[in-house]
Amino acid sequence: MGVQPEPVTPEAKSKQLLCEILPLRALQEFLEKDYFHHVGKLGTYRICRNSQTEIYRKGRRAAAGCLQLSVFAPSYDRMAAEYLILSNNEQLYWNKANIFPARRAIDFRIVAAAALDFVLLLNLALARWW
Amino acid sequence: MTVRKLRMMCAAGDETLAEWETETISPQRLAEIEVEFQSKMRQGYFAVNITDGRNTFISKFDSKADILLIPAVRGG
Repeated sequence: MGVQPEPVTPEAKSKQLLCEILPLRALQEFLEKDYFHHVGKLGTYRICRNSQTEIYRKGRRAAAGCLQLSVFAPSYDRMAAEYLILSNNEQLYWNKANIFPARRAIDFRIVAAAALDFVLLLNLALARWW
Repeated sequence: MTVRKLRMMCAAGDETLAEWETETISPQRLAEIEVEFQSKMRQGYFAVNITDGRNTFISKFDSKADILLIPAVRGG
């Protein structure tokens, strides 16, 4: 009796397809890290398997993009679709995907409130001393 | 002999809808594949010529190309 070949899973098939599509540099990055970058005109995109696509502008994370296929498909297919759309028609990606602007690391409203609190505290302290 | 495929992303990863040898395929079979291609395009699929890493969108069937069909996309 011969050995039955292992069935190829949908995930493995879609990973193979993604590997066929990606250019060499992105492919190397993908095989090492399970994500890859695509440099477009409107930003640089980090396309990840299990999270939203991160969009970088001027070296800083500016937004996250969320795009889905209209049919159920393995996540590697979504990565391939995002790459192909971005490399052919970046504007289409921006029209179709939900884009969530990144929160600033420092919220200036909080900084302003903290500064105001500090000034009031200083005022109170000075009033007590004098 | 050059073999080309029409593939479609789906729940199974991808499915080969058609496979043909460019030199020997009959015009009738080619027409059938083109009808299938156009049907998918009408459903909102994107077609990409993935031959040798070209990765370019196409709107018309090209019998000399390996074609990948991507389902319609929407914001998540």
